[in-house]
Amino acid sequence: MITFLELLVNGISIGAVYALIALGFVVIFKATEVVNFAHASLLLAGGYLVARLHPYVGFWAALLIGIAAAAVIGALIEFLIIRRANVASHSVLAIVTIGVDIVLTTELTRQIGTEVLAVGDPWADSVVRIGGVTIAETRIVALVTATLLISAFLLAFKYTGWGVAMRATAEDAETAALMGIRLGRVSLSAWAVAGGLAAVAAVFLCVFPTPGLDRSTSLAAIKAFPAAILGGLDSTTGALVGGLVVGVTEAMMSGYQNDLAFLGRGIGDVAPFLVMIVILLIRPAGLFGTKELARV
Amino acid sequence: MTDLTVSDLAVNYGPVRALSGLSLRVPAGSIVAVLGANGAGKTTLLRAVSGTLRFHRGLARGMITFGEARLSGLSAAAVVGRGIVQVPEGRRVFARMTVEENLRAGGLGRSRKDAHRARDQVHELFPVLRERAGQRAGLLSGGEQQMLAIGRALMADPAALLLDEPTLGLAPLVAARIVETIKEINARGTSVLLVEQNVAMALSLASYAYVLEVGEVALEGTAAELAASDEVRRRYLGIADAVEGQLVARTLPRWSA
Repeated sequence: MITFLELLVNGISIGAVYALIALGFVVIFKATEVVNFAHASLLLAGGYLVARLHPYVGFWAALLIGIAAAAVIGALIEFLIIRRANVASHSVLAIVTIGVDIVLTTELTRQIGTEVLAVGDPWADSVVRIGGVTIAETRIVALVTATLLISAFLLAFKYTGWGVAMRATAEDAETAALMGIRLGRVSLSAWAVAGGLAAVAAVFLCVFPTPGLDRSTSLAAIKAFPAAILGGLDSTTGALVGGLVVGVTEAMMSGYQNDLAFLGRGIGDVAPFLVMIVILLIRPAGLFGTKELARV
Repeated sequence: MTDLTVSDLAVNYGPVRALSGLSLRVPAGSIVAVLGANGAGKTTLLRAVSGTLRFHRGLARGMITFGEARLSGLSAAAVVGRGIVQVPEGRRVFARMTVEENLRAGGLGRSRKDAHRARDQVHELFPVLRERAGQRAGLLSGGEQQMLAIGRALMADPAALLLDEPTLGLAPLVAARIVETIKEINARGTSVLLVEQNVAMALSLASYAYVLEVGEVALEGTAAELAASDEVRRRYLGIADAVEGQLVARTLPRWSA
């Protein structure tokens, strides 16, 4: 029972971090209809800067710089590549983002080399005991931070002019433009927000119990793909639920993998994708995604 | 004064020419109608003015000006900034957003205070939009959606309003209500460029009209002239008068052949 609770809390916590990544993914898709395969490299870039800078400026300043830098990189990808690519189809842009991802990731892994970089967070390896349940402080901070950021995001999405412009564009870009909404700005801000969220997620993917940031950190980010897709690529609610489903599934499957030995080692890494496939078989648009509607 | 002027406009969609050599003028404060059948280029004309051709991979040549300001080549948002707003065909309200949010989307370019005042005016014009403020726009009736689409465009306080078939698919009573509203909006000083297939309705509203045929202006004149013209009466108003006999005579042989 204790193990179960520990796994559940850890799963929810890591799920909230995946939700941050998936949310950025969904925001970009809603604003520009582009599936952003460069998301993992944005995340790695943000995390890398935090890890490199914290010895000089301290963790908090490094965190802020990392977030800002990832936001700027996201905005630059939009401004220099996505906006200028005069292609007919959004699938072509998705492939362009794969190219961007390869370039960025290659350079970052070259910089990182074989090192494992600490991100210098103040929580280190302290743990909290509640009853018999032991939980790392980092997991609690991750959960709280992700919850706050996601709430702030959803409130802004619902109530601010930016959110209204974003939703109008997602629903019907041409009509939004006719109403004077600047599509370029909407798209630029979507990429910047997604980059910033990814940088925060990067830090929480690298803190205790993970040893730190290394060249494989971007692989962890790839688990947010099934989160976004199983929730429904165009649904912010879907991103949150998808993140939690992936996080909890992964934690449970890894935690109980000795009981699941017949499935082989490392089932925790595969499980999110299996869940995604099962959900897509039942609901092809994802849990909360909009089904393709024909215009009447 | 701020007249909307289109001169020698040609639009191509890839190899397909949709408009050629089109010129028209909407004098400040007037209602001008553009008539024509499906495919005559009416919507293309509006797209060229509002800067949305690029969404349809269309390319325009020619000159479009509003007063001193040149509109050709501007983005859709910049055209709105110059005071010209289009109500798209088929209403295209943001169905998943509330009525209130739809209006807000129309006034994002303005200060909070101006947007607030514009919203009060829209509510005054269409009280139903106040009653339904919190409802999803997709749940409104066709007539209410058209009112919302017009109200949303008015949020930007346009100097000229472009209307694309505003009464299409509406019940006669609702359509009559929309017509009254267009008059009211015009009476407040907004110029209107009205694109319509419903010729009788358009000619009752407009002071001047152009008839488009396969991308060119086939006829133009004051609404009274056009309404009296045999050609328009026969082809668009379904009033055949004396010409009826000839028409029958001309079509019969084909049928019997």
